[in-house]
Amino acid sequence: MTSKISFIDILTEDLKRRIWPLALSITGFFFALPVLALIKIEDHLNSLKMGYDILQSLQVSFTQYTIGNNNYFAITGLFIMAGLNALTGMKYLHSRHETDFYGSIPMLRTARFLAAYINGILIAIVPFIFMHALTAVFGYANKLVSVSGLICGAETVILEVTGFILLYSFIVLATILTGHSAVSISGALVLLFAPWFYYAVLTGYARAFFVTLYDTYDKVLWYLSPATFFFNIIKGRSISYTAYNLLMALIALAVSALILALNLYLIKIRPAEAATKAMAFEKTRPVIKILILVPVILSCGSFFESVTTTNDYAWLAFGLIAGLILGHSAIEIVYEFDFKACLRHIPSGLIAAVIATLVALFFVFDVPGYDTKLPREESIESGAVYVPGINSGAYYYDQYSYEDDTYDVQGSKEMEGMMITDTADLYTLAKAGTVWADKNRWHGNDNASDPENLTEGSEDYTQISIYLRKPSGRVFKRNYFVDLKDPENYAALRRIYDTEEYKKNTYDIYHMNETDYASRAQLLTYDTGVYSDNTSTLTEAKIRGLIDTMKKDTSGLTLDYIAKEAPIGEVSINVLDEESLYAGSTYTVPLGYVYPSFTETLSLLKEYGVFVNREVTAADIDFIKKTIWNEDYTSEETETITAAGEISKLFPDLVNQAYYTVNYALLSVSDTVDYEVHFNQRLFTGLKNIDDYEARFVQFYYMKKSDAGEKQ
Amino acid sequence: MIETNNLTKRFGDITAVDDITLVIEEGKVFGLIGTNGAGKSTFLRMLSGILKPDEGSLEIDGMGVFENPECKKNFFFISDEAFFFLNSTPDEMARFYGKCYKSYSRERYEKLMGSFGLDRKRKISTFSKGMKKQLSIILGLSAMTKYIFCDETFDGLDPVMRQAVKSLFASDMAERDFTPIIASHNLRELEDICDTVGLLHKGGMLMSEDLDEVKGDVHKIQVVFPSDYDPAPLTERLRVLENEKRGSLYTLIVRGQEKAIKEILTEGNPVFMESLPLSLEEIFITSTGVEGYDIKNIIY
Repeated sequence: MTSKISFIDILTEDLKRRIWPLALSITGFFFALPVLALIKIEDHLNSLKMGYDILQSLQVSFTQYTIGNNNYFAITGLFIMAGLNALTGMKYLHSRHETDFYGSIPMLRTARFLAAYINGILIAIVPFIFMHALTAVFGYANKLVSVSGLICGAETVILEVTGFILLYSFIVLATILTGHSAVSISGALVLLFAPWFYYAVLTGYARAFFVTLYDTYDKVLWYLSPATFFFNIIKGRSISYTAYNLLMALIALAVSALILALNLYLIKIRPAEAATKAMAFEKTRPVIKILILVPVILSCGSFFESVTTTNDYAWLAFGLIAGLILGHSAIEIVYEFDFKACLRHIPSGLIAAVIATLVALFFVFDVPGYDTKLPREESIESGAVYVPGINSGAYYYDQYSYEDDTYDVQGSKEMEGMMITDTADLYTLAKAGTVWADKNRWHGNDNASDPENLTEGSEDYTQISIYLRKPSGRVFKRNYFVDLKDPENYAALRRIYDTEEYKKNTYDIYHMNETDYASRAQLLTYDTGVYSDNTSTLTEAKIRGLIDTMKKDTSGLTLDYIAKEAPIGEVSINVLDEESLYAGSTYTVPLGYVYPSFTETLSLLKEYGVFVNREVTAADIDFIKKTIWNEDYTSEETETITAAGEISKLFPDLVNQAYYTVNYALLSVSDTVDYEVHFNQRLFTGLKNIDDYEARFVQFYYMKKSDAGEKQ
Repeated sequence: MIETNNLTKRFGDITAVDDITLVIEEGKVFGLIGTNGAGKSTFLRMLSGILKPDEGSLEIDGMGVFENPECKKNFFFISDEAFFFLNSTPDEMARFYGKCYKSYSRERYEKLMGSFGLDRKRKISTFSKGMKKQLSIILGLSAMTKYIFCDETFDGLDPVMRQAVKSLFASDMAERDFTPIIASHNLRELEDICDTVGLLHKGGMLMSEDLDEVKGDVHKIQVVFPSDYDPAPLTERLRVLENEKRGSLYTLIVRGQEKAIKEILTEGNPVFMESLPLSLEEIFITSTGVEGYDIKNIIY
């Protein structure tokens, strides 16, 4: 720099003018961190003293809610400071007097900008880190933060600071691109949420018009939008994902560096006369307008299409036009600060309208043939199928991904590894799905998740997800509705189900021995819905033996069998957490459902000392209260069955409410009649601890649908 | 020396400064005259490196101005509405300028603050408009730069203060290498201080003249001829720019050498003849009238 004033001087002078944001930052983080910690310390120590809680769980709670990523006060503070520091630091760009002042003195514009930029970071980060460290010291001194908690706190600081810098850099960009602080706020919202907004609008259209959409919830898009990326990275992971966290922090820093480079370039070319104008760069005005207007028009069209039930496409067109008029007017009024300017610059509005209309038509008319086209059968190398109505709900927790704290798309976990090479049956099912889609896609309903909205009698249709893989690696993914009462479709699914490939990717028991769960198992539980019992006298060999036996029994299942028989119980183990912040606690891992045919599994459980009593007879039941609902579920009729003969005739056809949905694609029940079964004490003879939790004396049942008509 | 060549600046559809080619000599007071919206401020903001010209070039002592701190060390810009930091005092502003300009004189600042009677510790936000103007002039003069650019600086100053500032400019010019460039919409404000005047109208420079040269070439003469004498043959021989007759008193503004003019008029045996000083207004009338501008519409 050739001017006399040094960069440090510029930095100091700028900081002198920003005392109030600094004071706000110090005060805010003081209350959000040390004060909050002191309140929690008092509360937790009291709880410990009174014996309400154990130290370990209090450590986890304290760490998470003070120096960890669940301290939403600190996170909100960072979010606010990112906006506040960017707007106050760069407000000189929006004032003619200040731009004249700084433009005329011997100081490089880039130096002035950098000073404001760096101070904006320091004003938030220095108090934040200091207060964070103080909080950690308080917690550690009171034994409410462990060493792993300190590491977790340090990771939180790294993630939250980098997340802050990312957000801040984008908001600064918005202040440079605009010439007025109020417009900067709108600009910041656009920059922070634009990719997310585009994603939301486009997936909204795909969900509305592609009835076979296999929603991939493309996680990449969540990382493209600065605001969503901020929330993604600050929520952090357990300490076992340090590498992932650091990678995210590095990505945030790299993107921030790129935005800073862009900001510096723009500052160099930014005209001083931009101050007080809405947009700083004349050339960007139509481009930004079109970029904002296209999703606004589309979302307006989508809104009117979705809230109406008739004339969907007329309302879609109305929404598109309304979106154009409203969006165009709003943008022009903001651009010119003049209400009368709403009809200026019509051509750029029309370009946006044409683009939005083409996008809408792309989805409405399914231009790519998303719903109806299939890849050539001979081009398919392998495939996979997932039927949500088979083995449903067994692995809910397994859908959760610790890596990015999201739930996987239903079935994706199962299908990723499934390589069915005999693809003829898959193709049969897919083809049936496209026929259904072709008939239904013109209804324009919101989504394909509920076939009852789409066609009459469609309750016969079952949702299935299909992957068809090409040698190139491309995967064709669709969600179809297929009539499994059609013999050809049912036979195709039966052949697929009966393969080892399908089962090993559908039932997690096949992979349990690949994990170290057996060595960390603390408790084995068998739950029948009527009662549960457990044992803690376990060895790794015992658990591995049980896993192998369950696997063998599961291999023996056939589609025809599970279409008739519901599970009678579920086996799970409690596994010791050895590495996360919650180390020392246990979590539940379900091993799988037990069917009546699982004789070896049942006898092994009995051998392990787990109470197994599946033979429920009429003698175990005191009475059954039957409630018949009308179709609207508004009135009921009750009947109490006490005769042992009647009970013994009825009971084998009933399915416990805990299990009637497991294979709902095949085994359906009549839910207009429910059966309240009252068991007597005899059933639980042999159960170790009979209490309300382990012995459920009253259970609800439904009748299998195939039997319902004649027996109800 | 400040030199502009075809300097042009547009704001959207409006051309604020249109193709100005100008040389401002060192050591003289340059006055920039024009109505509101004539382009004076835009011209000064370009001169100060705030605005980047759309076309043409601008150099101060051979250096480009825009984004050139080395060049900017040589001038101080006093804006029409000077900017002061929020809640700042004169001393704080002085400290800041002291860091920006290596030529800054703290002693001069203290001396001038004392002379003007301004409180150095008082918040500037409590100052009157005139006091703020005074302060910005003090800060500008304390920077001891070679050039000072004043945009409507005298507007808001009382006559005594205006005269004091003019005196300061004059003494600085006498003592050091100092060139003030003063923009104003008020002709009379610049009358007794400017050496050279540029007249801006609708972004264009109508004229830029050295006042001494103009005054040497144009003369205002009042003359009374005998009652039966018709001076028309004499005035036809002169380059009369304006001829006004009130009773027997003729007031003539004539271009040419004063001696030659008087010799011709003496041929009519005038009973009274006297040369009067030309006001700036009259200079503009005479200088621009020939170019077809109605000067009264421009400067009033």
